[in-house]
Amino acid sequence: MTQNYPEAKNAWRIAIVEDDSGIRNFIRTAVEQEGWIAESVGSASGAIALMEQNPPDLIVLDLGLPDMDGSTLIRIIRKSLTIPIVVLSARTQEHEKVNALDCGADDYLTKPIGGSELKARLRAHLRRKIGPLQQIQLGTILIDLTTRSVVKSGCVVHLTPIEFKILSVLCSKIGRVVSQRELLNEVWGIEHSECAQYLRIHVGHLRAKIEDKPAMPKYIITELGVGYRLADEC
Amino acid sequence: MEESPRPDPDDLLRKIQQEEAEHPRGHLKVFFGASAGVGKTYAMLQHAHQKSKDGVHVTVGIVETHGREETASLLEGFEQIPLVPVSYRGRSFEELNLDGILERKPQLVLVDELAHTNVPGARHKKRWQDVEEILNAGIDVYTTLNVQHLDSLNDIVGQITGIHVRETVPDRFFEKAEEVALIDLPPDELIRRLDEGKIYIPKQAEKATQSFFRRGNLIALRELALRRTADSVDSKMREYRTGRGIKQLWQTKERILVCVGPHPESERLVRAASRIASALHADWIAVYVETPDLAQLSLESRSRIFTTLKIAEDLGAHTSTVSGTDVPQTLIAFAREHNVTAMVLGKARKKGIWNWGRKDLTNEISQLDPSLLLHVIGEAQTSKPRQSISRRASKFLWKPYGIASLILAFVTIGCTLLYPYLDLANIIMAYLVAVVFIAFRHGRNPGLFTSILGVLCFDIFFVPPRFSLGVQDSRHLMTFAIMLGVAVLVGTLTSKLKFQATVAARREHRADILYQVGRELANSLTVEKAVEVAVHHISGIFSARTRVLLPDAQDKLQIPQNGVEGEGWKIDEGLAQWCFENRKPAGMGTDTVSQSSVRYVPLPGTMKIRGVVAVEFASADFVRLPEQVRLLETIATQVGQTLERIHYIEVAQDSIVRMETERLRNTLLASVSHDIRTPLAALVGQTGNLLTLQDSIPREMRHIVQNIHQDAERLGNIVRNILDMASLQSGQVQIKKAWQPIDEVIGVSVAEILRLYPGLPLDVDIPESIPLVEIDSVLFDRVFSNLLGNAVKYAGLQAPILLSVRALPDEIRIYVEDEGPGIPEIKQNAVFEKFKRGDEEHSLPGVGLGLSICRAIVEAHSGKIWVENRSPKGARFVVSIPNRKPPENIQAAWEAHDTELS
Repeated sequence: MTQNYPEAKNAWRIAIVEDDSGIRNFIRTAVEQEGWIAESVGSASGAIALMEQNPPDLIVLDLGLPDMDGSTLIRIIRKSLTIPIVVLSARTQEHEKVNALDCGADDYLTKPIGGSELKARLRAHLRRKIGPLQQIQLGTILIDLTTRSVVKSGCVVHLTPIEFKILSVLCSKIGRVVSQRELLNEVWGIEHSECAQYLRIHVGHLRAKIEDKPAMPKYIITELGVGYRLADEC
Repeated sequence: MEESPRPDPDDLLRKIQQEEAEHPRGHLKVFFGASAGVGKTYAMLQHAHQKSKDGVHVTVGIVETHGREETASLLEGFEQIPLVPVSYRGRSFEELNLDGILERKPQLVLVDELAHTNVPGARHKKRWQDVEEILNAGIDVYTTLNVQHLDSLNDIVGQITGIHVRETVPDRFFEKAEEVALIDLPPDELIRRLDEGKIYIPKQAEKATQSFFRRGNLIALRELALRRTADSVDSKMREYRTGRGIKQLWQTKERILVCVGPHPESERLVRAASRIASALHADWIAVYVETPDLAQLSLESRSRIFTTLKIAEDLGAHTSTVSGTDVPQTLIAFAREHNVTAMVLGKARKKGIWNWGRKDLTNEISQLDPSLLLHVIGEAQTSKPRQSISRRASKFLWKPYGIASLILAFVTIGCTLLYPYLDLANIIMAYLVAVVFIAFRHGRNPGLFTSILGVLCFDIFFVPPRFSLGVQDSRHLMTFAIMLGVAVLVGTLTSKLKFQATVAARREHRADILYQVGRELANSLTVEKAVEVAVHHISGIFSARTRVLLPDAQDKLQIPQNGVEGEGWKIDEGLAQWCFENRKPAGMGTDTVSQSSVRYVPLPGTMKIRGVVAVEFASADFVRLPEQVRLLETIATQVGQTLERIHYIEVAQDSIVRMETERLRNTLLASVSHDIRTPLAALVGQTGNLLTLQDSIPREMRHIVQNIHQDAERLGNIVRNILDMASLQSGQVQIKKAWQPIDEVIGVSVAEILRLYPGLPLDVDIPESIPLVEIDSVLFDRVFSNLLGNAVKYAGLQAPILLSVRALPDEIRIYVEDEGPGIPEIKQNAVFEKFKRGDEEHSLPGVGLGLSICRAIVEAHSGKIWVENRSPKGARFVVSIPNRKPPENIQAAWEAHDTELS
């Protein structure tokens, strides 16, 4: 799917906001393996200072910082910057994930995580930086957002308006985790943000239409209790 | 509201059958409404259409559409019998064509406005008479009627609305209707229709209408209509009622009050009231007005009052005791409060000398509220006024008479000594002072005694001729009379005042007690303290032994086994529990096990009964005194409220503590989880990074790194299980069930296991027909992840694993099958226990928590989990969850998809 993107910048600058030196080193290694530049800070204040002086291209952030809660930091960063924020935390509770996403984070990864997976996710977010998309190729599926058509292996897939809306919201945030609430707001409007059951059912329908094997989805990935993500590394 | 005597249903039925046999009479159906505009005509036409559809020949005799199109359009399709012109005073009117109808002989004829008065010159004066004739000809009639046109209700409606209607229909005609359909419209709706101009109003009546269509009027009219409809002769209903012995089928319209007093006649009154009430199908209330006057009655009289009240209760009355100083006023207030329509009173006894000046209750009540219907019951010949007997029987005290004699002796001696200097008038004054003094101090009788003795002394010692009873001057007789009069007057007034003072003091005492109890209870912060206050005060006031019984968590009263003040004071557990559950006092002096020596009074809180107080009075007399009983009940209420308050304080404190504990535990779990995961994450991450450096590390080292990496991930999983178990155990995991397709959660678990073991030969089989399930997806992911993880662990990376789902009628089963060694049958249950593994000495890492977590989660979803061995080898884990039907709207959304696909 790289054909949709212009040539990527050579050296992205990745800020690593993490107080544990072990994790910091792990991320730094992973980032540097990709040929990107890593800038580590161990505290929220350090992160804020960095953002003000020289904003990076992406932030990897731990929620448990010594001087400030990660969610608060996300809010502060979001006030001035739109760069991707990827949370990497040991907190596994769904409500924490949802909260971080609602604060403005783009993705939520839980520790432990493998280096290759981390890198894949970071890559996805860095690619996203380049403008909105008209056409998206997912494996054998071609989604055209302007003509509102979905073609799978050459056959047209008929989606209901709601299914298409869900798919287009996911497309517009490809690679990112879209929280249930966000999806509900975008698709049904703000007053229906409590009907997560319907969302699941419609996503089920959508999967049945576009996935080869709905029980082993390749495209629409469920983040349990949090939301959905359109995978872009396939 | 006077009722016309009701026909005996059997008679009525017989009569109807008889009449029907002779010449079949048409059926009458009345569409009955509270006022104009409720839609009677409309409803009648609709019903007629229904009939017409059923093949009945329907004609229209007369229907007033008042120019309303909706109604007029309903007239279409019916044969209309043309009206006949009748001329009156040079004007032409159109009336119902009675002869035309009789000639046409349809099966059903519609005749609007039953109460209409025909123009003179028509055959009958009233339209209902026309209808009668039609009915007699065997033609069914549908007609409409407003409640104000019913004869018996005409004047009531007039009183309510201020508009008297001259057009009426006799009740007996109305009662002959086979069917009465009440067309009901709520007053607000009616007013809205009026405002929208949907109700026809004749021009000349416009002004009156404005006052007629007031909300209050409409409500009253509606009520009347509802009552009347309920009342209307419906032989089936009556048959049913008599047949089944059901006393009250509908809300009674009458409520009768009977006033119970100490008089022996009261019982007769109560019985009479019961008869009247049952004749009128009315509710009735027996009430005792407790006045200061009545408080001075003997115990015998008081207990009679309560016996009478109990008789009333047995006869089906509600009973009540109210206090007040003025009987008629109190009764009227009570009657108004309880919507009483009639009152049963006893005829006042013959006016005796002592009753002179007393007011007649009947007169007074009828003056206070002329609208009340009074039933006055005469006194039976045989009964004797025992009240006066009981009064005289009050204790005779010698002391006042001794003092009176002494004082008179002093006066006489003093006056004798001073006789030469005194005039007779001065002497009589001295006696008068003595009489006033005694009468004032000791009441009427000692006063009378003093005056008589004084007069004697005065006559004998001072009135010439002295030392004889004779009187020279007849004017002295006048003096004697005045002396007597003064004594009676002062004595009576004084005794009354004194009595009222006593009563007031008693009342104040009671109020004081309540105030004190209330204050002490308000200061009680623990249940023990409140109970102590209650026991202390109740024991003190009633000189009784008291015990407060409190319920346990299962609402079972806890009875202390060894009574502290124990001798012979035994609490009847069953009775106490009865009292608690039925919220009624029980035991001594009540209807329930009255022979018990203990009275049980519930302690009512606002939400529920908070306990029972058991009181053993020193004497049975206590429970006969209404004010004592009331006092006890008031205190019980106070105690109940206090216990409730304390309960809620405890609940609030409990939940604060629980929240605090929970917060602490959460923080602890979170920090433990964080502290373990962080280094693990670094380990997993760094080894992962190492692995990506394919070329720069030797092959054998890569193998070691790979092992470290996988072990670190397993360790991560074990930590997760331990933390999961900890939070499941602490009961703080909230299960967030939601309807969803099961593929989604399975997809997540499968993706995770494939991430950990890429290339695992895992297959998933979920038929499309699997219905929605109601589960907590996050928790079920743990179940499937654990089962899949186990399969990999025991069967190996190369062995195929199959995850399949099947729907049975009542359950949905998820199978996880592997080709590993299986689990020995004997251990198949044990593996779900905590820290149990299939093979205790297994070399593979693990603590045996995974399956117990699975079981906890599945059981929390009312499901089951078990394991069985496959042949030839392998284990099959089965998760079974109930197959329930999702709510309609969700199911609809789910099925929409199916139709779309097909």
